[in-house]
Amino acid sequence: MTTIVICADHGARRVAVPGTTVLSAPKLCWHPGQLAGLVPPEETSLVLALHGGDSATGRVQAAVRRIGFDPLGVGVVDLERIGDSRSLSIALAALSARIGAFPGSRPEQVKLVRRPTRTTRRSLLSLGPPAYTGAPAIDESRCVAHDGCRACVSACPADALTWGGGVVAYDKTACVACGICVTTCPTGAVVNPVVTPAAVEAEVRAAISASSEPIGIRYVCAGGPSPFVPGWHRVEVPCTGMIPVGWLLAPLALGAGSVTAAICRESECERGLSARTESTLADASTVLDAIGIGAARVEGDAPVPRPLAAPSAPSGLFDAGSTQRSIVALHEGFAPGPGFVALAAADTGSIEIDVATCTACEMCATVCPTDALRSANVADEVRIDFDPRSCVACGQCVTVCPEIDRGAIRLDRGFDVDEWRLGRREVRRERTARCELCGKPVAPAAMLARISAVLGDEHSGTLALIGRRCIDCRGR
Amino acid sequence: MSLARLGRLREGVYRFAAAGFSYPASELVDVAAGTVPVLDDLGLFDYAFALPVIEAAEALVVADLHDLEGAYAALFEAGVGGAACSPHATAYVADARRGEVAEAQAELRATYRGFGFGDDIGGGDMVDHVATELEVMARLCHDETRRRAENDDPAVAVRRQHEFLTGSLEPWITMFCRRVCDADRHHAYTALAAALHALVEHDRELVPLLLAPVGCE
Repeated sequence: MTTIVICADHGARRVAVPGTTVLSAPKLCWHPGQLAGLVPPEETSLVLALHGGDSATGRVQAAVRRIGFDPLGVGVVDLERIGDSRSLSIALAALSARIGAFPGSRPEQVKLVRRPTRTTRRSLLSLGPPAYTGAPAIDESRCVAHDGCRACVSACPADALTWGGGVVAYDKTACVACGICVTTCPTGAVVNPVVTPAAVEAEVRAAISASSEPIGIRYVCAGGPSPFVPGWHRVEVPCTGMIPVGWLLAPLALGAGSVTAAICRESECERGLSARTESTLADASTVLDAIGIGAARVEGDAPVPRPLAAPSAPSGLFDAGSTQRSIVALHEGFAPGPGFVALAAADTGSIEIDVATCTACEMCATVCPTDALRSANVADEVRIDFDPRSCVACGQCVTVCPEIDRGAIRLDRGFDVDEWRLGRREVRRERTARCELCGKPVAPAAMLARISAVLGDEHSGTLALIGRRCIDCRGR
Repeated sequence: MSLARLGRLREGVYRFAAAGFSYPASELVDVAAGTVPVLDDLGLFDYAFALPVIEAAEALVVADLHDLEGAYAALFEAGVGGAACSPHATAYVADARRGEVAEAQAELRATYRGFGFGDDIGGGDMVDHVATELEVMARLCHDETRRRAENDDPAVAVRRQHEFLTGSLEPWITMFCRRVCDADRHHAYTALAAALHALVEHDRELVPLLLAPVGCE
């Protein structure tokens, strides 16, 4: 059961949220300690509606900690960003759903908030209790850094993540808690407790179902300057730079009329990621235009149009690979695809292999974190196939290709729904030389030919032996 | 919240954790019961490590001393194959086969002397025992608080905390806490390990901030 406590500082607001107990407390913002007498001890979830927030965050967090709640799992609605009771009801219902999906936090996932204008130790610790936010932690059982993946490392704007020896190391002090690593991880191995895909999906679904009228979804930076816009529900994320194209498309598939992300002005963006948000919005516009829905759905204009007819809404739409899943969900029932649609930064792509220069060494398939590229040795052949629906355009295949200088592999960012319909396709097939003694595979013929070309005639004897016998039989 | 008060709070929490990981004595329950009100007065709930610390104290208050002794022996005292979760830093960071243990212990002893602590630190426990290392951190926090109270420069004490955290505690304490949580069948030690992990993880971020020069707003 969830308890909602609303600050009644400027007059009580009457709202009802199904499945919750709604209480009101005078001057809760100034005296959060009164929560101890208000919230029943058996309560499992808590949502607070407060005026403003930033300066009170530390005090509020201390007060909720005192009654046994993890502050990162308590929802806070900013009453100054909510215009009317209807919007408040929707916000409270949505936040209740979001905290219902809170996974809990571990000590390494808790980070001190350093306010940008008050970074001195004296100001941090003498102006009141410190505030905390969520920080990412890597689930080693899901991380594929050992295969060479470093998608999170490349995306991190603060160099807080580094790759070495097949492991990603994280520096909490350098981290700016923007959340980009969460949405760029192709396997969902990076977990920040305050912004999990499941929690955001729960919030979006709840906001849509709580509204009887068409509703827009507006992603905003937590603590950012974004004002209230009637008809739009604000979904707070650490930074809108973390939003992938899929998170902009998914709400439309779930029944939102519009969706957008607030872009901070360059001078206001602490993390310098506003260009990234713009690029993601541009990609979402391109996708929607290409599949016939129209870019107006992501332009953020009020009033919000009616939702798309009969939206398809599978669960897990916000998980890793959300862009592909959302495009499929939105495209179902529409006209044939427009061919390949190029996108600037989206996490979806298509690869082409040049048969003339690829040696079928299988490195690309080995490092692919999502198994979009797979290889197998079948009979006397190496076969490499590719499923564009799984490609997250991380570029690892291109990075590791030893023949990249000769153009053996190319990655194009974008999508082609017709190609997706065809599913997995073979992109390379090469005969494998077999050991003359034991019959085991030795190497693809193209690779032996390439070695021969590199070594020249001088080493032809050695090459002949390498090509005829496997590594176990060469000494025999 | 003043920095001196924060220093006293951290000292109290380290001292509580040190008592918890020492061999269970009859006073332990009283220490646990008395700790919470004192730490609360010092602003415990303002900090992220509050809930695990409270949970650990509550678990110790209701624990039976004989059960605790049994759990302590099972977890931390060497059996045939060694302790399930050795409480000694050198078991994690030194290779006994290469004779590194004695060398590492000697280094620790030298570090303690450098901090101005006598050889009596840790009571009966070894220099690399978790309780001893936590006691060292408690004393360093105390030193910081004293310097602040006397309007002396606390930077030396804070630098020592940073040095000891990064050089001695951090390299092994997370692994130790994980092992305790995995192996413990007595809730008290799991709770204590969770509290210690939360405290060290918090200090990993806090202590460098305390070291930063005081600027102007």
